Amino acid sequence: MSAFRLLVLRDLRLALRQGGDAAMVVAFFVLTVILFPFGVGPEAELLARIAAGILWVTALLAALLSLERLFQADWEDGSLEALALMPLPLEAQVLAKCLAHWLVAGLPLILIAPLLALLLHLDRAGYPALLLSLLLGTPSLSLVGAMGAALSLGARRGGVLLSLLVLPLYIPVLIFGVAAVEAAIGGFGARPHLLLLGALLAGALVLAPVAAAAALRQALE
Amino acid sequence: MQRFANPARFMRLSAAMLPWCGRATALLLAAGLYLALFVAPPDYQQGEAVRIMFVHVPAAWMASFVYALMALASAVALIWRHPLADIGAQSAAPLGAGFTLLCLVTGSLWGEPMWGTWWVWDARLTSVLVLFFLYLGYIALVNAFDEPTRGARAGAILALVGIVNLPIIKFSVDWWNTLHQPASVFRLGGPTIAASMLWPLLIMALGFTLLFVTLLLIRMRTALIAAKIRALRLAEVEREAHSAALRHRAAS
Amino acid sequence: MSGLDAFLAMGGYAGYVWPAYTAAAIVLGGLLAWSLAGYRRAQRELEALQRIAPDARRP
Repeated sequence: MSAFRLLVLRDLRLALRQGGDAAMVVAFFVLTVILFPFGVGPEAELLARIAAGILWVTALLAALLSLERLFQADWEDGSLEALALMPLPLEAQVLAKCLAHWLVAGLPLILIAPLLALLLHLDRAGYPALLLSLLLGTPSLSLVGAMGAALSLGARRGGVLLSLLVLPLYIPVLIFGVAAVEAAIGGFGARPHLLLLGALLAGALVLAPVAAAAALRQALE
Repeated sequence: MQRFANPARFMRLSAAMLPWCGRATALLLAAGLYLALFVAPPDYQQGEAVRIMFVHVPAAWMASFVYALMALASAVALIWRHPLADIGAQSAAPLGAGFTLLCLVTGSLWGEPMWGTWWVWDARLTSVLVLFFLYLGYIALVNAFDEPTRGARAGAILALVGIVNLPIIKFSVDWWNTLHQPASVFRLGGPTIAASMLWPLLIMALGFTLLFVTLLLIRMRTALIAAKIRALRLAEVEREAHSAALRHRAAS
Repeated sequence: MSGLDAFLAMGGYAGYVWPAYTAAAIVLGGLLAWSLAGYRRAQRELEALQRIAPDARRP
């Protein structure tokens, strides 16, 4: 377990040293959300109706931004090969990387989301569901995204390729994330949608590291 | 050496099968078109527009069927490293994408007279749209690497991930659709599809399937020939390097 | 002629039915043409290579 923790801490330290990763993701999130009132008009009722969707889609895109570099740096300087030789299984290492990624690129989104929801006039009943759905959903985004990053490692135009691979797979998380918020606002209770998000997370926790590790082994061959 | 034993057998088999597949395809498609355009009666709700169904539904079936086949081939490629499995999956992908595109286009053309709009976010069409992007992602990934084996393996993993996600995507899109669309159920020719419509549908579906098999065989043969060309080129480069080394040694 | 006219008119849905079948012809025919073209190109290239260097048996 300590090897796992070491890896997480290593990635966190690298992220902090490079600095700005979390800040950039948050900045993109905020800026893009702010674009919508300019696009659709400032009318509170309209914004409130589409707020959940805007917040979720933008959070999704923001998480996608930082994924390309997930394995890139380690692969380029050869440390990925060294990590693959470690006794800790590659799948666990992928999990460690995902955890670090989520702490840097997922958690800040959750923290700033209520502020943005305010700007979009999200109905007050939706706030808890928004936070919970993001809490359950963003780790899935990190996990599925890590798999996409591993698959496209070293590919030409890797960044755009990553989006093409990963965005279709994000759709279920998006659907249930928004549905949770809208259900809460409508008074129907967000629980079933949150449970589904949890199920998707559980599935991603199992599938994504396996697929990502297989892809990484491919890249290292 | 064993690597090329199987492909040689495949080349012989496919050479024998192709003419029959081609003829069967032509026959079935001709029969299907005749039934679809001349024999099938107009639907009591949709009139003659129902004839679009005879192209749209088989295309939809093929879109899903080919992806399932790709995933199966990918599993075989990853587990048993069978050289033909990778080639099969990669050859099938553009064909599946084509069927998916056709399904979307004909769906749109069917939707306009039926629902009064060119695009409808109905659960099935939306799922097919996502499937289309799964195909495009696979094709892009396989072609994104300079080394063909890397692309093949990455594609195989993606295809397997895709097939696992496909039911999840379909389920979630279905759910999303029921939340946002009023229940618009239209029935073709009554509560169960009439035999006069079922037969053209099945024959067209069979024709599409055989067309797929024919094209798949052609594309796989092409891929194997391309592999042989690469091997020959590589052998030639090695020969030239070898003889250049010999000349160099003789001169010095 | 009115039989043919009625057939082509497709009960008023001609603008949808015929483009649909045309799309099928274009997509499926296109796939066929593309696959055949690729096949013939590969065959020609292989023949050209084998003329230059006859297929030596691998050791």
